[in-house]
Amino acid sequence: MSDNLIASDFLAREDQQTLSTLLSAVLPANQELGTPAANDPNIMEDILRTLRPASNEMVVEGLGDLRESSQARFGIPFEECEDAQKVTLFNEMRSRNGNFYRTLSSVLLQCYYRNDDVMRSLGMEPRPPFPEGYEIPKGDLSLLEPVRQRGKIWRDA
Amino acid sequence: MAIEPVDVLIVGSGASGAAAAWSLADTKMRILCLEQGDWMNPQEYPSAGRDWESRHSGDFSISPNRRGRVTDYPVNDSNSPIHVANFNAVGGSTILYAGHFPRFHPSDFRVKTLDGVGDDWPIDYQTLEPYYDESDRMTGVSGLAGDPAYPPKQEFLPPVPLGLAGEKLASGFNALGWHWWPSDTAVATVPHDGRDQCINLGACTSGCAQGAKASTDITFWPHAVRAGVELKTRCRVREITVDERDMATGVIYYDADGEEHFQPAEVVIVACNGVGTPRLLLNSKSSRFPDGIANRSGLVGKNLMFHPYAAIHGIFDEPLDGYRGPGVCIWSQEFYETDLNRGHVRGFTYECNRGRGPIATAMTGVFSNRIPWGEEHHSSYRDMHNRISGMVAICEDLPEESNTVTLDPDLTDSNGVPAPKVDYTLSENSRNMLNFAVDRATEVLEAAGAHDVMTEAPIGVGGWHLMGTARMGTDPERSVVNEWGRSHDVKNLFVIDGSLFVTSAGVNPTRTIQALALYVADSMKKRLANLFD
Repeated sequence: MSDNLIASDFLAREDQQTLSTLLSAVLPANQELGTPAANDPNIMEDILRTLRPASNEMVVEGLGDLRESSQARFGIPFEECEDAQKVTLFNEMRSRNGNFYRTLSSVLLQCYYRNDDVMRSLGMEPRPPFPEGYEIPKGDLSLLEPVRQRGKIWRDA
Repeated sequence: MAIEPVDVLIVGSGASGAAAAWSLADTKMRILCLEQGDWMNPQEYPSAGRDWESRHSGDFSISPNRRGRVTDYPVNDSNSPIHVANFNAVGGSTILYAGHFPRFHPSDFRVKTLDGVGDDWPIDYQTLEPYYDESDRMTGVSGLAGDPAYPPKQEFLPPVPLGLAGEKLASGFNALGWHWWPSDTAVATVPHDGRDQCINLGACTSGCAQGAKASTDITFWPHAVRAGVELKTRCRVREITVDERDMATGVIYYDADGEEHFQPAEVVIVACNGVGTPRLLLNSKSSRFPDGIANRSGLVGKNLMFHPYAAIHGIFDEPLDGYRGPGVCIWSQEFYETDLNRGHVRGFTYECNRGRGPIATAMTGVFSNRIPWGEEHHSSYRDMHNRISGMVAICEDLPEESNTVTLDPDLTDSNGVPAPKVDYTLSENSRNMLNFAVDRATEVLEAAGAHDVMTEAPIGVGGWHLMGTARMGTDPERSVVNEWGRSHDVKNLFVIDGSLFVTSAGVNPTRTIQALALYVADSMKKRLANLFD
């Protein structure tokens, strides 16, 4: 049983448990890179908050579909599957329950890659672009020399 | 209380409406602009928040149907492979445009004469040139003089930085001996006209919180308002009214509370873009104009042109600019002019894109099966993070009467006004051009060192450019407005937006839309004594 469940009225405890288990498998922590798993409480909370506008029914059905598939495919509850099996089951949702797969994948990636720890692990500052902005090199305009040498290419009319 | 009449009523405050309002302000006429959207608050733009990438597909989506703001109207574009993009606010779609800001070329106005397709424009490059210059001054165009793909242009603000991505892509073009040049952009690279300079936020297409990108709410509009133009927001115009002399008498609009009003006007100028303008004209039915006002030619809503876009992006071994910097950096017009050996007529511009943000990178990787779920996700993601760059091809779309904007029989906006319906088919010429553009861009990316190339053609969500649906011309049988934007049928009704375009060229249209609006406004000012003759 994951201890990463959070207070939420969006999903029942069983569904939240399935979601948390799924998230930790599809986006696991990596100590070497310093990345958290996607069921990190901060990310999980963001996911549940972001999922709200989507159809609750669609998400609940999708999570139920995962549990049923686990029993049918591997003969064990979803939570007891190996991580690789969970990933397999989620990937199969892509063709069988595309709306659920796309919605959950999209929300998961949004919330994961705007998380402070994840951004730091990528060498990014965890902040919005404005007002500090960023620096980029001006570049070398002498690269234009062959274009200049070639001369006019516009067409007389 | 009766609403006072105005001398000039402009419907829509985007690129063209703003430019015309500013130009006409010096006449001291009473000018009113009605805009269905709101003033935007740049401090609330996505780049001021941590969820800036997510909002790009939410309340700042380019799709009005997805965005669904109260200020939007729905568009039925289910019968089109390219879907309409726009934004409804003061500044219109310039709020969300990338600011890639090329001019048309002299040849773009002579398509029929030069290549035997489409039609010639009733005006030429030289006619528009002073208005391009005027628009450029107001906009604050950055770029580098001397581009051999264009006739000489006036001096610019300094170009946006090439950055790592621009240099990388330039090396690919150079390896093949092909044209490239720093893009003209509507981005202030130094302080300009009260606007601060670009600080590389990288989120141009969801509004510029810095105010460096030249959306017309911060370029033309402050000057126009100071000069006395009145701008009313949250006013959705339903129809233009007309009298028995075929003269427009004003407009009927709904305010934010849904209350209906009649605004009388001596002159009505329509500036609602290539979909909104035909929608308004077609919704303006009367006994004098049963098929919609100014539509005796039957051409209102016909000849809709998008620019079919191809996206070609590569994954490189080394980090590039990623999420930083204005999205645009360089362009190429190597394949702009006609060469029938390529399998198509006319041509296209490559608009190079610097990179993409961390979430967009993840979406691209996962949904294209380049980044798996599970243990391998992180290393695969890092192979793409800040390593994607490439370009889009903006292909010239030729006018065809079968590509149309009509009124949907069922769909309406929140005021019950019939919504536009788009029926559009990609031509064989466009398909050939897209394929050619994808193949050549792939060569560029590979020459630049990309080890994996991703393509999409056409870009389904890429209906950014809406043109041709109230075309200009000298023949009332073959055009909706004359050579200076006045309706052939209603002599106090003008069109000034992309609907005017006779052909689309192979470049982003906003710079030409603004120049055309200034040209029409100036034509009006020169004829004030006999404007309706």
